Amino acid sequence: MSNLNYLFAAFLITWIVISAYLWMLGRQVQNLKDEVDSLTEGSELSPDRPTGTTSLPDADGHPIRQH
Amino acid sequence: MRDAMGRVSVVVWKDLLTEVRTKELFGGMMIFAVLTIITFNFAFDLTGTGRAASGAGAMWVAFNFAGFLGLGRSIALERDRGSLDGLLLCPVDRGTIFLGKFIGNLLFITLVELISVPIFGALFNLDVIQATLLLVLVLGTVGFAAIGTLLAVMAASTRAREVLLPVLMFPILLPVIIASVRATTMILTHETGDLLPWLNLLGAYDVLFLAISYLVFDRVVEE
Amino acid sequence: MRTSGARGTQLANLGLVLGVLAGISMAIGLYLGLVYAPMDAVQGNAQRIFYIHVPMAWVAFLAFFVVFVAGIMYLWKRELIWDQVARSSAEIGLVFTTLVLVTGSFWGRPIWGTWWTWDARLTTTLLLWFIFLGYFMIRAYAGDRGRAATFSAVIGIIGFFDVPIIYLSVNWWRTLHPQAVITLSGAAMPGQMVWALMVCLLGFTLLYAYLMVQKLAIEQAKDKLIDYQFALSEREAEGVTAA
Repeated sequence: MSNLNYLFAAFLITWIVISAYLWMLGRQVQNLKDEVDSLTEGSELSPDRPTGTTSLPDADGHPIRQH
Repeated sequence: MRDAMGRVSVVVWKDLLTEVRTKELFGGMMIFAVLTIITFNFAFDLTGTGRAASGAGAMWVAFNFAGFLGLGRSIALERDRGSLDGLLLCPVDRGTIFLGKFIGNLLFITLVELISVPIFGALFNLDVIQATLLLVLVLGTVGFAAIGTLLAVMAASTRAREVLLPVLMFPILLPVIIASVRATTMILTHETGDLLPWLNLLGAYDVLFLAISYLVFDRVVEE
Repeated sequence: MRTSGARGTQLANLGLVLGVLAGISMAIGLYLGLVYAPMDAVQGNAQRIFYIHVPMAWVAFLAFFVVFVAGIMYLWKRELIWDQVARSSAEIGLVFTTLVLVTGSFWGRPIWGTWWTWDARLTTTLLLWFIFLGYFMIRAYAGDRGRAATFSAVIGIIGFFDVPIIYLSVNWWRTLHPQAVITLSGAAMPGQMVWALMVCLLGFTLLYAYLMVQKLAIEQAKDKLIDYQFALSEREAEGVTAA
């Protein structure tokens, strides 16, 4: 009774699934990086920039907001 | 204490009154339950020797399906009319509202069961008029309604209401289904020697999940 | 900003350390299990599946316990971090529960002669898998983040209390349905086997910790990104109304 093929199959599937999961996590990190890049480059409103220096009208104190 | 009971009964009364006026829930559940049992007659042999065992299974599957239908419908009615928001605005404890909805659902499902059990007994020639069977019905339905009321409210505020409720409920409800079917089989075959452990299981399940549902309901309806 | 950056580096270092430790201990554990431990006289080589199957089952239930605790903490404190912990752990738990079911089947086929049997442990694991699945389904359909967090926390808590009851009920159900119950004859496991199993348990637990650190960092970044995008769209909308 050796049953080596079942042992092999079980291990193979386990390592494939775990590797695939690790690869998926890597992809998620890459996607996040890409999104952050597109966000900071594509818009002039970088989230890191302080509110005071935006080129658009400021929210507080603007006359239109008073109405 | 008496005050709280009064508030709970007001919520229950509201649901009963709505049902009496609209008649949207009960008839549908009732016919559905009986039709399911009849369909099972053709799927399995419910007239042969093992009819008590398969009959008990068929009966509980029918009750569960009818229960899903009722739970989904009752919460959908509240949502569509916007009456759930009104209910939540009432200056009462959220737990009170949960208990009211729970008792309302419990009453509807138990009523469906009480009417369809004699029909079931007559159709399959089983001795269903027994006090212990009533006890099993109530214990099984309390667990179903406790989990069901909570999950129905959750499922109703998602995009896939009808699909989600059974998908969430079936795995969680498995102990109730196993225990009710086993206990019912024992009662129908008059072999009630091992009945008590199953009744204890059902009772413990009911108390535990009624308490959990009561405690978390407040958080769920806030969303 | 500086503190969160420093914490980020710390977390990355922790992840690295955990990853290396997990890799080393799993490699040693597998060597012990596949080479050092003797072949089981009755079960043959298929018994060696246990060196990954048992640790993964342990990790699956550990992950589920973390989902439960984080769920309670979220409902109590209403802090996003607890939901991030819960959903990270649930995903890893789902992966390992799947693997437990698959590797168990590959063991059951040669030893029991069947891929599946309605044994209490098997059924409970399968039901755990379905509860995890429901956990992610309600998240997917919930709509907004707060709702997803609350609803899934409720599922995690109910599921945690439910799993022992499922085990009990299936066990009783089986005793009333007598079948040829095949139990493990592993009462007197040789010392080498115990060692191999222990090291594998350690390795997989470290793997879980490593995956948790990674997944948690990803989930936190995702939430942060959503917040930024929301703030950005609001500011742009404001700009439109102002102009």
